[in-house]
Amino acid sequence: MKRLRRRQELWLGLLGVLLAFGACEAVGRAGVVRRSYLPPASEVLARAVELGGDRAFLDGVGATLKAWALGLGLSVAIAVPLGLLLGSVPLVDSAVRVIVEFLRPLPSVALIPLVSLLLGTGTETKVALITYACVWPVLFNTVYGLGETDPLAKDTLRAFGFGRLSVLLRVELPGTAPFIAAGIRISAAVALILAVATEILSGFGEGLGIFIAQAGLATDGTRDVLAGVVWAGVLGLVINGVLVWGERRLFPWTPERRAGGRGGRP
Amino acid sequence: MKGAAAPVRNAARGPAAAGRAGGHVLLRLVVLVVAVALWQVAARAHASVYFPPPGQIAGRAHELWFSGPVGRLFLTDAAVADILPSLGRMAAGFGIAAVTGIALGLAVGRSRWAYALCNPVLQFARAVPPPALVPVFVVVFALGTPMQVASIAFSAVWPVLINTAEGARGTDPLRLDVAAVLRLNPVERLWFLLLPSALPRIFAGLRLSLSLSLILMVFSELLPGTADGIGFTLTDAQSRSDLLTVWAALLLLGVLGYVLNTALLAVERRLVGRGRTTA
Amino acid sequence: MALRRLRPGIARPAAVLAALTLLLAACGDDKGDSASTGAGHTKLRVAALPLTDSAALYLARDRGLFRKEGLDVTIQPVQQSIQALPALANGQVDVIASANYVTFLQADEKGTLDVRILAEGVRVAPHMMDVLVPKDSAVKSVADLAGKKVAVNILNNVQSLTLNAILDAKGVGRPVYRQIAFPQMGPALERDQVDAVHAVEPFDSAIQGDLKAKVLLDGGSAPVQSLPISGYVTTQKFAAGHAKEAAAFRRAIEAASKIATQDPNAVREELPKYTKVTADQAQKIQLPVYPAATDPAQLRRLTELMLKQGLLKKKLDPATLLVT
Repeated sequence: MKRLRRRQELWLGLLGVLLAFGACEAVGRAGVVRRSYLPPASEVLARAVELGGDRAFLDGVGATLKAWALGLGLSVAIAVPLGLLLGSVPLVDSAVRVIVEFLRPLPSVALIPLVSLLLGTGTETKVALITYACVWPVLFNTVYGLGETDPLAKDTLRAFGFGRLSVLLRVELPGTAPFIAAGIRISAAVALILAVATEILSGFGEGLGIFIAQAGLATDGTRDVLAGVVWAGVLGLVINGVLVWGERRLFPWTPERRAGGRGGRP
Repeated sequence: MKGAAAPVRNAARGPAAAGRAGGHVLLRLVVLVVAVALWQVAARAHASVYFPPPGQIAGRAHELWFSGPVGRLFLTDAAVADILPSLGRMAAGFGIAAVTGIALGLAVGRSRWAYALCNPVLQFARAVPPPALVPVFVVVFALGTPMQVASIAFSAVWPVLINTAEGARGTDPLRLDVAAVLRLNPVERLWFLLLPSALPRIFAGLRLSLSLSLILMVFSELLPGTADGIGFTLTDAQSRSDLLTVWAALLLLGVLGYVLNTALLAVERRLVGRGRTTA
Repeated sequence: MALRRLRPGIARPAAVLAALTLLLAACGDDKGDSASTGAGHTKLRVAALPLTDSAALYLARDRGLFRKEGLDVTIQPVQQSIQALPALANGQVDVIASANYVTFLQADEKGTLDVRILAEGVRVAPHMMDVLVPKDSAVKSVADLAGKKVAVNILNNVQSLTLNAILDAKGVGRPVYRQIAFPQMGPALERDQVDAVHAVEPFDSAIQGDLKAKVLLDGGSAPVQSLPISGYVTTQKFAAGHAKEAAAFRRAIEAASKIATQDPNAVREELPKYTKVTADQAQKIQLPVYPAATDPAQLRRLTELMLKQGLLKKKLDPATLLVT
C-alpha cells in the first residue's frame, strides 16, 4: 500500500464529503417523505450557513465550547496524575481498579437528572458530566502508556542514582505523552458529543444543544435541528483535525499505528 | 505495538503467583466493602432526598426487579418486561454495529484512498450527538423497537468502524507481500491475514462500542413511542420525582455495564491472547 | 525507546492552554442572588414554555405591567417545565411560568422541591386540546378508543389524567398510552404508528391542517372543563424571602390575564412574537382560559383527580401551597 501524500488525502477527503452530501440531497429530493418532516440537504446546509451570522446562536456555541474546554481540561488534570500513580504503584492500582470498574460503565447520560438537581442547569452540570466521562480514556491510556516505557531507559537512570520521582518525570512521562495525547483526542470527541447531548436532554440553559432542543419544539423545526447537527458535526471534525495535527507535530517519532482507541468510552 | 499476538500461555507459575493473585482479589473485595460502608454512613448522616443510602437503593432495586419467584431466577414481572427487552435491543443494536463496523472497516482500511475518501465523513458522522437525530429517526423508522435498535446501531458503529479501519491499515506490508507470493485469493487474505492482524484494534473498538451501546440504550428509550425498558424506567421515575428509583436504575446500569465489559474482555483474551490489554 | 526530553516547543502551547482554561473558569457563571435590586427595579428570572400557556407572562412584559409593579423580568425559554426544575431548585431562576401542576405537585410530595403556586396560568378550554385520528381511521367513535394506542406528550401527566377522566365518565375503557413529543405526533399519526394523538394547540390545528385529521374527542369536555393545568410556580424559599416581589408578580400576571380574557386578539398578536406560531396560525387556534384570579377550589378538583388516578399518594390541599 503506497503512502498517500498529504495533499492527495485532503482532496480525497473533500471528494468524500461531496459524495455524501450528494447522496443525502438525492434522498431528500426524492420526495419519499414530506418536506417539512425531512428537508433536503441543501436547505439544511443553507440554514446552517445562515446561522453562522446569528449572534445569539454563536453565543450559544461559545457556551457549549466553554463547557467542553473546562470539562476536558479538568478531566486531563485529574486523569494524568491519577494514571501515573496507578501505573507506578501496582498495589494502589489493584485496590482502585474495583471502584473504577464499577464507576466507568455508568452511562453519563443517565446521571443527568441527578447531577442537574444538585448543580442546576448551567456550565457546572455540563462540566461535571464531561469530566466524569472523559477521565476514563485518558486514565487508561496513561496507564497503558506507562507500561510501554522502555525499561532500559528507566534502569539506566536508576543506575545513575536518580530517585523514583525523577525517573517518573524524566523518562516515563515523556514516553507516555503520545499515549496521553491519543487519549485526549478520544476524550475531546466524547466531550463535545456529551456537551451537546447534555444540553439537548436538559433542555434549559445556553448552548448549541439548547438551540437544537428548542428548534425541535416548533411545528416544522427539523431543518433547524439538522442545521444544528451540521454545526456539531463540523465542530467535531475541526477539533479532531486540530488534535491529530497537534499530535503529528509534537510526537513525530511515533508511528501511525498507535494505541489510540484503547480505554472505555462511557 | 501489538500485531497478531499469538496466545501466550502462562506456564504453570506455581503457588506463589496464585497466592498473589488471590491476595489481589481479597484486596479488591475489601476496598469495595469499605467504599460501600462509607457511602452508607455518609448518606445516613446527610439524610437528603437526593442521596438515599445504598441500603435503601438496593432495597428498591430488589423490590422492583428481583423479588420474583425462584423459578424465574427471582425476576419480577417488571424485570422481565423492562430489563429483558432493553438488553435485547442493546444486543441487537450492538450486534448490527459490530458486524457492519467490522465489514465496512476492513473494506475501507484495505485501500489508502478509500480511507482518505471516507475519513472526514466518518469523523463528522461520529461527532453527531444521538439525541439530535430523533426527528430523522421518527420519519424513517417505525415507532418502538425498530427505531430504538436503529438509533443504537447507527451511533455505535463508528468506534468499531474507525478502529477496524486503522487496524487493517496497520497490516505489516511484509506479510502482504508473502500473501502475494503464496497467491492467496482475497477471501483467504482477509481471513488469514487482515482479520488476525487487525483483531486487537477491532476489540478495542468493540469495547468502546459496547459501553457506548449501554448509553445509547438509555438514549433510545427517550425516543417517542417507548413503553418499557431500563432507560425508560429511569426517565419516567425522574419525571415523577421518584429519586429512589432513579438511583436503583443507575445501580442496575452500573452492574450491567460491569458484567458486559468483563464478558467482552474474557472473549478478547481467548481470541487475542494474554497480551497487554488495558482495563 | 531512547531517552528523550520533552520537545522545547511543548512548554509554550501548554502554558497558553493552561492560562486559557483558567481564564474561562474565571468568567464562569456566578449563581448569585438572582433577585437583585438595581435602579428601583427588582430583577426576576422566569423560565417559560413557548406555548399559549405563557401568553399572560409575555403580555405583562410587553405591556409594561411588570415595570409598573417595579419588576424587571427576564424570560428564558424551556422545552418542558420539568427541565427548569433543577434551575428553580438551585436558585438560577425564580419562577417557572406554564409549569405543569402534575409534575410540580409530585415533586412537592416526593420532597424534591418545596413548591409554592404564585398564580394560576391557564385552564382547559373547549378544543384547546383534542384527540385526533386520521381521516380514514377505523376508530369511528369514542367507545372505539378503549385499548387503542393514543399518543400523549408526557406519560402519566395532564393529558392522560384528563382523557382518563373523560373516558371514565363515559364508561369507556382506558386506551394504551405512548409518549411522543408534540412535534413528532404528526409524522407518527401519518404513518399509522399510533391510532390517535392527543395534541394541544398549536399542534392540534397544524395536524388537522396538514393531515386533514378528524377530531374524535374534545380534550376539554366534561368533567374536565375549566380544569387548571399549568401555572406560575416558585419555591417556598423565594416566596418567603421576597414576599413583596412575589405579590407584585402575581398582581401583574392577574392584570395580564384579565386583558387576555377580555381581548383574545391581544394574545393572538403576542403569540408569533415568542412562539414559532405564524400570524396566520395564531388567528385560527383555540386559546385556553386565562383566569384573572387564583381559585383554590378549582385546584382542588385537580388534586382530587390526581389522587383518584394514583398520581398522588396522599391527599393534598392546594390552598396550603398558594402564596397569599
